[in-house]
Amino acid sequence: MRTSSTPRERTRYPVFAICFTLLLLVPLVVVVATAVNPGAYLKFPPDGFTLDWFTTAIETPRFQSSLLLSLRIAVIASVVGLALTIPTAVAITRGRRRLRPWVSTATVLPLITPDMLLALGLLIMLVQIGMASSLIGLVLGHVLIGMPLAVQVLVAALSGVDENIEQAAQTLGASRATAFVRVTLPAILPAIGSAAVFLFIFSFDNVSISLFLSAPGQTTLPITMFQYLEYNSDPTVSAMSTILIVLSLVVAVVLSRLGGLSHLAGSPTRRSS
Amino acid sequence: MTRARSPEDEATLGRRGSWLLGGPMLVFVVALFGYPAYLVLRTSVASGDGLDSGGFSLTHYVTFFTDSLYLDALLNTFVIAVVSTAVTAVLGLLYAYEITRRPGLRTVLLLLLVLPLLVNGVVRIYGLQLGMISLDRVLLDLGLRDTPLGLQYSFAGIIIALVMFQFPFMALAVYAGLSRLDVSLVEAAQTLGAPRREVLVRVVLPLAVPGLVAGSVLTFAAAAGTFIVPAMMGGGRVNTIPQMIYTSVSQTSQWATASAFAVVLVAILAVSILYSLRRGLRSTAGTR
Amino acid sequence: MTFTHHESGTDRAPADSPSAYLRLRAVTKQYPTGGGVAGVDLTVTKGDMLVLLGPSGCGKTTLLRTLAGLLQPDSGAIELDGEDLVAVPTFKRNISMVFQTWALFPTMTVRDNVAFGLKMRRVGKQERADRVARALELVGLTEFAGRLPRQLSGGQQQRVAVARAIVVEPRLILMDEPLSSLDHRIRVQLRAQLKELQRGLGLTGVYVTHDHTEALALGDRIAVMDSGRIVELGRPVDVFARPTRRYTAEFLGLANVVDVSTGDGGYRTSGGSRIPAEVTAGRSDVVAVALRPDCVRLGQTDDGGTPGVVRVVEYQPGGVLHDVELPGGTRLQALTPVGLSYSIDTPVFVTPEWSKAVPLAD
Repeated sequence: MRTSSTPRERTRYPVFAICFTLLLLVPLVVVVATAVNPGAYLKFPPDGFTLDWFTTAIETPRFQSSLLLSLRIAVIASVVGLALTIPTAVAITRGRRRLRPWVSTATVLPLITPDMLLALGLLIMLVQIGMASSLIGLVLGHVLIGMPLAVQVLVAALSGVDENIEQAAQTLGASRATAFVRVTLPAILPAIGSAAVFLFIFSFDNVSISLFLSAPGQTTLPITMFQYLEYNSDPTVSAMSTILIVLSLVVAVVLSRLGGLSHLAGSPTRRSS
Repeated sequence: MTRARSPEDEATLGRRGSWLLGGPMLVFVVALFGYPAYLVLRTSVASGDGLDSGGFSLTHYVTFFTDSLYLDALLNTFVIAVVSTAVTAVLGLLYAYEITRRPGLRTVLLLLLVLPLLVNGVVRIYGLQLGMISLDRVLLDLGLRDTPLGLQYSFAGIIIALVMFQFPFMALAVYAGLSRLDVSLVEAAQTLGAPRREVLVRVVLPLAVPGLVAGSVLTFAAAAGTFIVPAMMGGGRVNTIPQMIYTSVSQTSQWATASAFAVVLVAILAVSILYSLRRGLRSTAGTR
Repeated sequence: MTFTHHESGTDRAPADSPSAYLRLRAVTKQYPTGGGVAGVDLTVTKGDMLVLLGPSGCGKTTLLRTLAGLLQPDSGAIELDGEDLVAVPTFKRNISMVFQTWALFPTMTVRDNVAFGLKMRRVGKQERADRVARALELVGLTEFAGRLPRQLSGGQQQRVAVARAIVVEPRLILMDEPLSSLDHRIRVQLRAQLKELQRGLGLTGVYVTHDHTEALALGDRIAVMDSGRIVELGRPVDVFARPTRRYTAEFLGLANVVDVSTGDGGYRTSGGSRIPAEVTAGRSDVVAVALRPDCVRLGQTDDGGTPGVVRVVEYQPGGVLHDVELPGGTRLQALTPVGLSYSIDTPVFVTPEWSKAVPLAD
């Protein structure tokens, strides 16, 4: 006699989905593997293990200066972006009804426009006002790209804050501004962290805007790597890529701690469903 | 739109506060999006090809639609966008449906799915190319093929890279809709004698449609607008509009030509997206 | 307890009575979508708790928020201790409010929550610590001072909200259904504590609720609201025992409300029973009478009562409540001592003591 097992009590594993998810991660694994291969050529699977290429990558002047430039721009873009997006999110959640749709539409526009168009338009404008190849243009362009998601994260957090707590603070003697700074702001601190991380990584990873707005000889890391890969591919660039993958992992961990990871792909990965 | 003040309206920001906080973003978007977009449009109808040529002419558009080089790029762009969107949609639907029916490891899977989104695009394409090269060597070594596939520089490679890039967005968008599906509903339909295919079409698909539409719009726009994917995967053999825009500006300083390309690109996107949205909305309207 | 109808159930203090501490004159706050309050006149004596009682949507919360300054009235005047409040922003009113959701600051400890109002008033560090400690002691939360709100039970959170409100020694304490999200047992317990605190500290307060037992327990005076207006105002015992409006009697749900109409020489019920003249006392605006269930006698012998059938029986603390169906389908509730109850479907004779009825206007 065959004992019938009830399928609903066993947890069933999505075989196709698991395989496919892993397949999407394979390129990253290959990059890391080729970075630790001792030979001066790209080999997968690697023949041995060495960390020498990381030293070489960091010490390559082109990569070094680009990495520093990218980090600098990303940090500035995060700060400028926060200064711009926090008030915006407040206006969207607490502002006048009639103003809200305008502001939220404005923040979505760069998201639905191809990066190439944004980049071309910015370049034309910057050339006209004589600021092409200035870092300011690059920073502002990066803020434009990262801003939509940052606003989205902040708006979600702000609408989750009980508006009564701000009013309670007012009844206790706090002016509206004090109430916001002392009570609401601390409550959305994790979201501000997430927004900052998004602004940072969107700036750091950007290709299209940087491609158009970087000054010659002063390119951000993704552009340097792109140009390098046009003529070479060796373990050095794999090592540099591995550094970026590790950075992404760090960002992912930070984001999941702050609860911002679910916003990355349109927020269907909400905790309970 | 009602102009009525609702009870909570007064407890929030006043008129001045709203403008003070919302204003900078409006200025920012007008200055860095609106005005540049106008400049692109203006430059595209300038009489010369330089930046400050002024005047008005449609030469650049005429050139575009008469030159076979440009028309090839247009066709390439369109085919790449359509094919990669279709493939991504099918895979995304399968993926989302499977993790809805079989929830094992779901949280881990979704986490791993969004993880690559945080990795630099150049790095991801580079890794994909390395993987394709390795795949070729394995196939040759095993004697399964006599010649390499050469996916790393090919049209197919572009499609694969785009699918890989856009898949997480599609899968999650579809899953958002499907996660509202009560699994017992499917089982109930089956116990009532509905064949499996019927259940899928009548119960599951309608829930997936909004996500599919949203995911497809995203994928289509990304595939048509991408520069880096054809630039790296195409190996210089597949020409697309974004690449033409870049080369026009960086190598030949043909500003007006580049602008005309950009306008055409946006027009294609807008028309395609509006059309599919109308279709999508109509097909979901019936399920409400 | 006997009441004569001349001692009309309301001791309406005139709007300009000199003893008034809080005074509202013709306060109006309307929403285009409907709701709000219209032309409210109220006075509250110092040290009193006024309860605004009414169903949801009657405007009681709007009125409370207007007092807090969280809403701006369209017209009318609000005076507290002789000062016009309308132009004073919330944070300068020196009042405090306990919210329905308690609205504790989620990122602050219990101690910091309570200290917040004192910090805003720039009270010195030492004095602040003392007053916070005293307030926490009053609500019995001394050992929870270091916790975050989410680490507390609902009842404890409510007590933090109260401590936070009283520690600043407000001129007026406003409470918006502060007990409504708690379990019944804790609600009753906290209700008593709240009353004791308010009395002990001599606080003047306005308390909003839809629960009449809360209103009865906490109010020095009760204002019953309907559609943005105050329809009845008085001491709890008067409002409950001798409501003057049919709306009030029906909302409180404590008594049978029987429609009456004028007939030959007096008021009659639709069943034909005559209401004694001393009940209505020559009034002409009576549309119904309220009759408490314990004023309706039940018997099994035909002693001149109306025949009826017991449909529902409900055991209550004060006796057994019978829902009796009369000919024509009307229902009347009757309360009997426990030993003298009837079972369902028993035919009974019903004798309402109409002389104990309370006349109601529309």
